[in-house]
Amino acid sequence: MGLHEKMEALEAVRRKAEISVVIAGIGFWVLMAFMFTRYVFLFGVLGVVMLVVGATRAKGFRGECQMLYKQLFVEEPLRANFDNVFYDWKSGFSEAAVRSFQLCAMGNRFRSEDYLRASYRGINFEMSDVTVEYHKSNGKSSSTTVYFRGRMFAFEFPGQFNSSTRIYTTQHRYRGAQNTPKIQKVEMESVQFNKDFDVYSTSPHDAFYLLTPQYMEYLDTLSRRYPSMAIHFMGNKLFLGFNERNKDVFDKYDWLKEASYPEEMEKVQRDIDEIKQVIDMFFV
Amino acid sequence: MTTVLVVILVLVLIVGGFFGWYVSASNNIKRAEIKVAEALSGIDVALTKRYDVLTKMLDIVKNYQAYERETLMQIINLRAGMSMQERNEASRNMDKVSSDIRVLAENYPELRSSQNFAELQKSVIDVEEHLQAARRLYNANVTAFNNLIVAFPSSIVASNLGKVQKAFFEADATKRQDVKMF
Repeated sequence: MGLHEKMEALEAVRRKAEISVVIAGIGFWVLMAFMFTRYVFLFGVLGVVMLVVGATRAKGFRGECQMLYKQLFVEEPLRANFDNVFYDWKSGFSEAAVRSFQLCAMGNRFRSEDYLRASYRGINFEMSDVTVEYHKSNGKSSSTTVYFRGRMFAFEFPGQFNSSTRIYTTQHRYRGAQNTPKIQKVEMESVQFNKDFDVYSTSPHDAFYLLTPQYMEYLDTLSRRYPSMAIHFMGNKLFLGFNERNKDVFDKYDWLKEASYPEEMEKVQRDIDEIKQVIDMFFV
Repeated sequence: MTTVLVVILVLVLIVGGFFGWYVSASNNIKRAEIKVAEALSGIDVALTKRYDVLTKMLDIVKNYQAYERETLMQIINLRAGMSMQERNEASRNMDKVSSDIRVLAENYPELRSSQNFAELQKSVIDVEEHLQAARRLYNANVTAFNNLIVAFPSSIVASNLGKVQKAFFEADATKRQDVKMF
């Protein structure tokens, strides 16, 4: 299927989704309008049917829309920018993997999607969107606290540390239990850095070895872009978490809006460039 | 009677509070001192590793130039119980020897291309990076300790315990430049 056909297919699904949303909306208002009248049974049933059918179809079309969007705008740019690309937008990191990253507290609701495994400049990495929430309900009321919503990265780097060193920006609140044995808070020599970051390590020497003054400057720059972030060096792995609640990487901002090819390509390329910048900053 | 009891209670609270604070401040100072000692042992480990690598390098280099190995070994020699000034001196001497070996390698391409030498050079870089980390950790802990013993009111406790400010481990000017991590 060529680009033109793909765009047409996407637009056709989007239109169907739009119609479904309109049907659901009308159903809702019919239900509301006749709720307290004597026609409530007749129009109530009609409203409920319209609402349910519209919402169900809209959800289905949204999935289809997402699939076409990923095929059209995401997969090709990823292959053009990275090597050994494996991309599966439906799957993500497992809950056990995210737990082992120790980048955030683990709640009781977990979701991960947009899994990408690739290499850039010889650096192998994995990336995925991750959402971790804590939901509580006492039967009368319920509340949900978002512990983490954003991207997590796992890198392999050519160093071997027996220690575990974790760095959190002070704005990153839900860090989970400090469950590494013999972990201790490390105060770096920069007062400002200590204000902006909290460093925990099983080996203060390794923390200083990893966090060179140049590296501390990089982190400072990075924290301006990602105010809530977490970093964990463990063995030959580096885990990164950017808590960006209002950002959807490799996704359309408004899936009911007509897609513009140049705009969407530009957005995806921006997302890809961000990944490259992070790798450049940490490894090059 | 009640007034006397109140006065006694207040006095007990004041004395108890002061005692609690004194113990806490004393423990903080001791903990900070232990951290300094731990970091100092890190410097010693790094210096020893550096000494070992430089010794191996000198063994290879002597095949290329009549090097007074023993004299140089003595210059960079480390011994137990060195003062911070002596450690600084030893570190500076090692910098000098390391730099001399690098210059020598520039003049002998076959030395540069030797696999053993190349591996040792990598080791030198690695131990130097570790030495930098150990130095920064030590100095950060010394700063925390010195701040603790000069700042009022913990300075009173430090003075009672006979604590004095500790010396920093100085870096050679060239070593102040940052090292590349990966």
